[in-house]
Amino acid sequence: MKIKYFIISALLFLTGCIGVNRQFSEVKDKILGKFGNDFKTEFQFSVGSTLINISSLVVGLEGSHEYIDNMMREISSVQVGVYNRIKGSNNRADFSLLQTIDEEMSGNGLKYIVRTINNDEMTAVYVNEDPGEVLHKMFVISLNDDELVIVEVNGDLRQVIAYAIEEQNFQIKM
Amino acid sequence: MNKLFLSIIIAVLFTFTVNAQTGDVTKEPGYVDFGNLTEFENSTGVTEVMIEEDLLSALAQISDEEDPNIMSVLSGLKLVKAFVFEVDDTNIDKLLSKINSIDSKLSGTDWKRIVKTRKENEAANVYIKLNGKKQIIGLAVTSLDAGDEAAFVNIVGTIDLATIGKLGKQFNIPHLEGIKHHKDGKDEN
Repeated sequence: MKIKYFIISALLFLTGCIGVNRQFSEVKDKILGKFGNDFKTEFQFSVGSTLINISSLVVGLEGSHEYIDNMMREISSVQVGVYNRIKGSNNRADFSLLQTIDEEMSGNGLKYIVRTINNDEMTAVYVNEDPGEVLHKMFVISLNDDELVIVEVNGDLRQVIAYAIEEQNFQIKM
Repeated sequence: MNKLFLSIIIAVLFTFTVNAQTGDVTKEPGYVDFGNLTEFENSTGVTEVMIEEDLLSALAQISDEEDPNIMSVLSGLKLVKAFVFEVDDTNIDKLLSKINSIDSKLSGTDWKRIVKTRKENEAANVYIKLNGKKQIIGLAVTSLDAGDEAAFVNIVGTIDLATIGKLGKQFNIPHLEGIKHHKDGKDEN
């Protein structure tokens, strides 16, 4: 029995695949509060550097995505939360809602670099306000009619953002 | 006495550091205040981009460390800001009016309009500001395409002339890709 717990614990710690941390939960609670708590948690998880490196190794074995491989190695953790909209809720994507979320994020030391609304979809990308830490933390918040998705990425994110600009084009036009 | 002197030095250094980190980009000569755009925020499509010097310089360093790449165009930039609004019948007149008011505001100043396009359903202006060394230190683009989008873009900082088209292509900024620059300082589209 003890061995079973040991194996589970080891897997959790080694892969880093455990629940989201306190800061993520605080941010999530504040954002959900802005939506009148009209969402219920679908799932939320955290992936640590070990699992990212394992994934990176798999990508590396394919041999064709060296850049992505390097990029993933620089990421220390990813936390993801997906929350389903409760039927009948009225909070829809609009710019004033986005601005109130900005205020909350600013209170957590984060500033937006991109925020966009397209019909009923809303997405915002936040980075650290501290100039020395600007590329070490990134939050992505995305809302549509069905769900709210919050993603936090930690680590050296220069390669990630460079990839977004260089390979995918950093689209100013919609 | 030495402690007091040391404290003053530390305080002065700290003040300089804080000021350097929180430099007000709105005071930069290449900055353009587009005025109040909140009335367009109810459009069905809105995109805002606000990338400041800390992020731009960090990204530009990637280019220095490795092979020169697209990140090198970000070197020397202090701000990339863009506001893009979907154009429809309810906001087209106000958006055109805003483009015209910005044109009036920049005309007769140090800003040079290098592109002006007027078609039935399109309007576009591209402005640059040069410093004494004929370097571009600010770029502004206003454009409207009926049935599509209106864009207000301002890039602040030293802009490499050779890569201005690349900057436009990479950030998908309208009307920049065709701009060529002559060594005598005159630009054309």
